[in-house]
Amino acid sequence: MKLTRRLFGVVSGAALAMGTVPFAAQVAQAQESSTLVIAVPSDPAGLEPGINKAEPIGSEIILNVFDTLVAWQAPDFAELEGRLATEWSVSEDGMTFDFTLRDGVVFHDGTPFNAEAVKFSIERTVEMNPYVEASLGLIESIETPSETEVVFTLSRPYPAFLSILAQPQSAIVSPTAVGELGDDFATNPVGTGPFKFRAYQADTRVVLDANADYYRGAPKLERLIYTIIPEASTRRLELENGGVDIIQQAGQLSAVPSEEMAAFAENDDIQILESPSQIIRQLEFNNSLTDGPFTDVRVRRAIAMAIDYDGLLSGVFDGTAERVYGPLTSNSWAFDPEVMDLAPSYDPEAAKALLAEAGVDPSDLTVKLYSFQGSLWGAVATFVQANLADIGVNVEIAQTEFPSYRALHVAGEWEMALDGRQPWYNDPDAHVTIGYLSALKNSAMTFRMPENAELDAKILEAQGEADMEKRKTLYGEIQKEIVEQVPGAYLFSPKLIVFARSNVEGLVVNSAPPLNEYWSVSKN
Amino acid sequence: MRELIHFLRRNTLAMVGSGILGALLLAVLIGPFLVQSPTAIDMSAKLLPPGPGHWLGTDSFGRDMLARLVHGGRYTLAIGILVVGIAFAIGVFFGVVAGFTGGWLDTLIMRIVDAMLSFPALVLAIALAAAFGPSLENAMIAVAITMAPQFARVARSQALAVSSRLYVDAAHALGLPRRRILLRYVLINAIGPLLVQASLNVGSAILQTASLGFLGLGAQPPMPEWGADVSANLAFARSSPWTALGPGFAILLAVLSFNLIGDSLADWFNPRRRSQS
Repeated sequence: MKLTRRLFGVVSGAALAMGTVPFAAQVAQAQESSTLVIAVPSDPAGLEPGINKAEPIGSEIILNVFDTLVAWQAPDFAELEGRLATEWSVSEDGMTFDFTLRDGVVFHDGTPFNAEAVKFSIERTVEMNPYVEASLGLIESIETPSETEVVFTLSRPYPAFLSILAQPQSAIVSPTAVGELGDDFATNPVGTGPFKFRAYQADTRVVLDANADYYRGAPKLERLIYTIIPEASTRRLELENGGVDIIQQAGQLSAVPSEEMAAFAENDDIQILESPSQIIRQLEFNNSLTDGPFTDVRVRRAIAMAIDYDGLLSGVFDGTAERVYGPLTSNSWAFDPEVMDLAPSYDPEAAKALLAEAGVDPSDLTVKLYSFQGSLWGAVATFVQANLADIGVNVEIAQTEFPSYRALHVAGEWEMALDGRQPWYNDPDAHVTIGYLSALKNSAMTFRMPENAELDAKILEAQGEADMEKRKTLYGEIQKEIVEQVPGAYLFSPKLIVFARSNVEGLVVNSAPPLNEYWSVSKN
Repeated sequence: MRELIHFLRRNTLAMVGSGILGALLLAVLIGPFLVQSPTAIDMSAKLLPPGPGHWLGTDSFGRDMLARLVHGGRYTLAIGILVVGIAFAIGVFFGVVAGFTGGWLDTLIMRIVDAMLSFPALVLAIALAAAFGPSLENAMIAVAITMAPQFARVARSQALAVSSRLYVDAAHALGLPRRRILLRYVLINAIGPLLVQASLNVGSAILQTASLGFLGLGAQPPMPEWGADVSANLAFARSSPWTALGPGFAILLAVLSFNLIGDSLADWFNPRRRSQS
């Protein structure tokens, strides 16, 4: 008996020690005011700008280790500022972009940053990354007249090019390090950014150290640790215990964070940072169908008027999402406020009248509503189903696994679906062209817009217009025209939500793509 | 039959099991007429704790949990029984044919059964449900398919044992057609252990279908199926535990009752008990 009890003590002591030592070490790290610990749900899936496909965690690390020529200015993200470029000019025809580069910047490996490095980096991404084929692929030539000047010439006007240059795919890498490391560069990134790469353990952690020589001034933090914690409840407990300083809401795409919001709201140690995103989630119709009730715009409008948008935002999302009125979010620089009046608003009685006017008896209407899986989509589908039941339309929900959902969506074998788009660069082009250009209807999960010569021409004109004021006007017309056609019901735009310990200050939350910059962050 | 009822009445566990099952059946048969709609949402009443008006509280859409439980029970209990019914039909057919016929057909059927049993049942069910597409019907078919090999095994061994009995030899000698022997002599006498297997499997059929519902491969919202409800409400488990505990407890009760009844039936069919009495 004595023996077993002693044995038990030894075993449990050992277990306790094994369990708590790494944990205690992490707490100690987090408590140091110069180290910031960020909990993320999964491995960054690559720290290599050359092959980045907008993976959220990898992109964020890349933009903290590397710099881009230009970047969107916080907090509005409506104007670009120079980073590695100090100034730039765009030719009249919108095809030539001339950048003056910052002098005296050095890479983390001590080699100098220059025009050659820019040419090398961008050409490398174009070669390695099929994801940028339609954007960086438009580059016809990159010239380097001097060490501090680089000139891009495109094959056709593409004003969103500047926005693409602010993306992780366009980060400037050290040519010397790429030459020395070869394929190992992907796990040993070398850039000019505010943080230097220190260590990476797959599925465990990424450690970054401050770059004391950073051209905007050394970051206030000395070390940044990304620790990978797949379980949402563990991340939450770690934040409550102070084991980590920040948890990312990358999981918000499939779950509503309102439970955490409620729990953290009462916790003085934790602050909730919310900012609007450019993500749009919608109920969309298959606009390419040639028969069926949804070919009638009155039926589509009736469906859109049956949805209680404000009830959805407050009831399901507890204020963690915002209203969307049309193809662009209201924080986009090209948003036209007139669509707020044009967009269908919640009015079930008028919806019923509209159905009657269109000669549709709602009880004859049984529609399958396709949706992604996950609790957030389940909740949205349930809410929409109940709303449509109120006007007598019978909806069957089919939550479908992503690969088969994508396949049936792209094949056009559906009438009504829940879908959404997260633009990976900050330009209206990222929502409008891919979503509504009829030529692209089969290329991805789109609204499958029918051919419409006038609208199609306008979308392409807006994509290529060099004069930004004219572009904004064009996008205004496009938004109004699309909203008139009711290609879907715009449901909500989830806010970007970051939970941080209350002593964390100065975090910049980027809206498109949604990621954080840590250069200005400090801990008290 | 009278003997069986007498045996079960003296068996406490069997009585508890039947009691629970009876109460559940009563609740799901009568309950739905007494409560509100299980799918009508009312956001102003969301996540209310249990109390007057909502005896088991409300979920995140303001739907009455009691209403969802009694409506959902119809699905969940029917699922358990139907799934076992399908599995029973498929498994017993192939098992009895294999055991009675023997030879290469026996080897072929049983190797397929072995192959299917070598997969963890839930993994196979997930693969099948994902392949068929997520819906309650497909989830039920997937679970039934993964469950059928167990019936095939038991049916085969019973058929083998019964086939060597004298009365089967006598039937052969009388020149009865094989199909008649299979149905009237072999199957009837092999049925006991199969019924035990069936009642024990109702519980796991409910659990597995609920698991598929939990993984989003089973019932689609807003159907009040218990497993799907546990899954949907798990997100609120910390602040509003009643939303997930209600359907979870209901699943527990249903599985428990079928298992208690199954255990008692197993005792009844145990040959040792018979020789003692």
